[in-house]
Amino acid sequence: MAMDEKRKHPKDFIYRFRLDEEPGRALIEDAPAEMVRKQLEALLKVVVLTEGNRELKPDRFRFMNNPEKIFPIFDDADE
Amino acid sequence: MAHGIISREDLREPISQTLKSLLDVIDFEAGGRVVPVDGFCWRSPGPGLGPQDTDGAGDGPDPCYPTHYFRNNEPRFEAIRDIVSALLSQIVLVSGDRTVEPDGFRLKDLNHWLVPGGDDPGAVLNSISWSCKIQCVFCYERGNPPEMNFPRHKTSQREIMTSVKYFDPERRMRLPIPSRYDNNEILTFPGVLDVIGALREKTAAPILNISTNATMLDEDFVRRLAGYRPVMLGISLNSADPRVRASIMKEKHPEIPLQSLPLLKKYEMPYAVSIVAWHTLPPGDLENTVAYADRFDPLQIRVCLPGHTRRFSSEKLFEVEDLWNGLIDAIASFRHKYDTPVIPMPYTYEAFRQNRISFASDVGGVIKHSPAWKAGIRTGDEIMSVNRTPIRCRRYLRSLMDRLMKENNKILWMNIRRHGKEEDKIIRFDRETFDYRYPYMPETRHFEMSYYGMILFDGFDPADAVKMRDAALALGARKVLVLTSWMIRPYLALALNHIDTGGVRFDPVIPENTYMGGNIAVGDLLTVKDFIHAIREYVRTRGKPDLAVVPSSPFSPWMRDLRNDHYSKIERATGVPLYLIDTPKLWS
Repeated sequence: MAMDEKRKHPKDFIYRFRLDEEPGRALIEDAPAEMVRKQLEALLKVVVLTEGNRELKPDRFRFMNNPEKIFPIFDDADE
Repeated sequence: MAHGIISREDLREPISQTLKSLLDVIDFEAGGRVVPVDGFCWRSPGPGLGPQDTDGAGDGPDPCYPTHYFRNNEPRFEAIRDIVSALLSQIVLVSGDRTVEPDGFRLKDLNHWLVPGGDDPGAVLNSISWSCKIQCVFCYERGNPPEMNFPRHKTSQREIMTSVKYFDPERRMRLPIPSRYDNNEILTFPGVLDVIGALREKTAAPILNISTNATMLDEDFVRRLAGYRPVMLGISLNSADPRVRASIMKEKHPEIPLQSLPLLKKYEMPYAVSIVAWHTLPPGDLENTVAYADRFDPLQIRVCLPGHTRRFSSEKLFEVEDLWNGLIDAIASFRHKYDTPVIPMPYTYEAFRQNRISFASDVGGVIKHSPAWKAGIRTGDEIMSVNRTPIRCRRYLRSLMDRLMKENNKILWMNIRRHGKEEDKIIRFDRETFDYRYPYMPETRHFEMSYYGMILFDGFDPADAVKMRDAALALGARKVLVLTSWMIRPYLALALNHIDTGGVRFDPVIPENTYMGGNIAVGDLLTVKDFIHAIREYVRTRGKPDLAVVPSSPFSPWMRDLRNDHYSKIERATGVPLYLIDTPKLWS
């Protein structure tokens, strides 16, 4: 690309982000389950689940194959 | 703690799906370079992903953001980071026949990330307000809690030009900008006029509310800036006395900012003036400053009633109520001498001080030479009806005016009350043929809070009390805790006195601002923690309420408080059902 063209159409700024956060406290010892919890926690900080028009306020989850074990989603220990 | 819950293999498919969806919107990076990812394998048992070396994050061409810089404006970046980190605790990414350990990610297509941003091109400029050449003694940045003081990110020319490129005025969309709690100078950014010029090429819309301490505004700069009109400035004047200004703003050449006002008038640039009425201002300085500014026809003069956090000063520097009362009384004593509207901020306090708690829709000020000015409307007039529609409160009046302006309504029959007597006034305004005279310019109608030149404030809507009652009744709640602020509480009480509460008992409580501390009096700066503490204290002393009403104004559009806590945490932490009521920000 000629220099003039480059000046006219500069490349977009690249939005880059670090993966540098200290890992949070694990609430579930079982690592795969903890991985799922962290993903749910991350998602529920930016989405609201609804059922029909009703907003849901989930704070726990369980795996479909194990109805007995219910886990917290949020680490609210500091409150 | 629980264990042995689910096998990794059970998660292979969901992980694969999550990775695919992530790869639709991001590329992984290692050492500043994109690493193509086409698979994953299980991470061997052992420590998960630890903190990475973040210095410089490789040799990428653009700087690397910590995701939390965007947490208020675009928290999905943080969500992506958390999801990726959770995945990388269990899996290793694969590229061809080798494994890769990413230390970052980049956005693939910026069009995916446009967010609603209104039609003010000036909002794009906020990300370049990262430097300030003066040090005001009252600068709130010095007293912010540590989480709010992000290290400065110096926006590059390429970054801001990318923001300009993606700004879409027609769809009112723009790229998100880093969250900021500081608001420094836009005009000191190198090449700022080129940036404003590029914005002007995209849209003819007014560039609103560029706040500046005016140190840049010599004649050459004002003349060049005027070439991009309409641009509207907010001038931090603070004092018209060069010695006072130099001492409270620590600047060497106060003559440039002071001379900027006549220049702005000369080049017909509409502007507003702000004065932080700090407690050390000499007696009479406030009125002298108002008198000086009034000579050069600003749209309005805002007098900011000050406060400070405990980090700003461990000792209380002044009693808010004493200082604010004195300022309100002073403004009331001299305001009538000047054409320019003088507005104390937060505006709610004036009625509070003057014991005028009502839902009357009074005019906060009238911009000189505006249609309302020509119609004879003046500060303090109470608007009783517009085009025969009775006005029940300030918020209702603003929404009605919004509609009339959008419909390009050219004539308004107004019934007003002045000094107890009712009068009729007619506002005439045809955008095309109106005889515009400075400071009322065609673009002035976009000026915030200005309707046909009338400055109309927002306020508590008595309908909110009805909403609260209906929400309580729908949930079967009989005892309702209402978390409010000391400036709103009397309006709430007044509204509740005028409705049938249906047997619901409302208890207003003012949470203590433990996060900011000091003498911060504005409810909009409360945090989730403050609300939790207030509810717990209520439960301890007066028993558990059936419902707690929380105002929306302390929260961002993503419902985060200043500490990035989501409001839903209040209900989880207290076990008290929550009703969020939509309230305007006091400083809006």
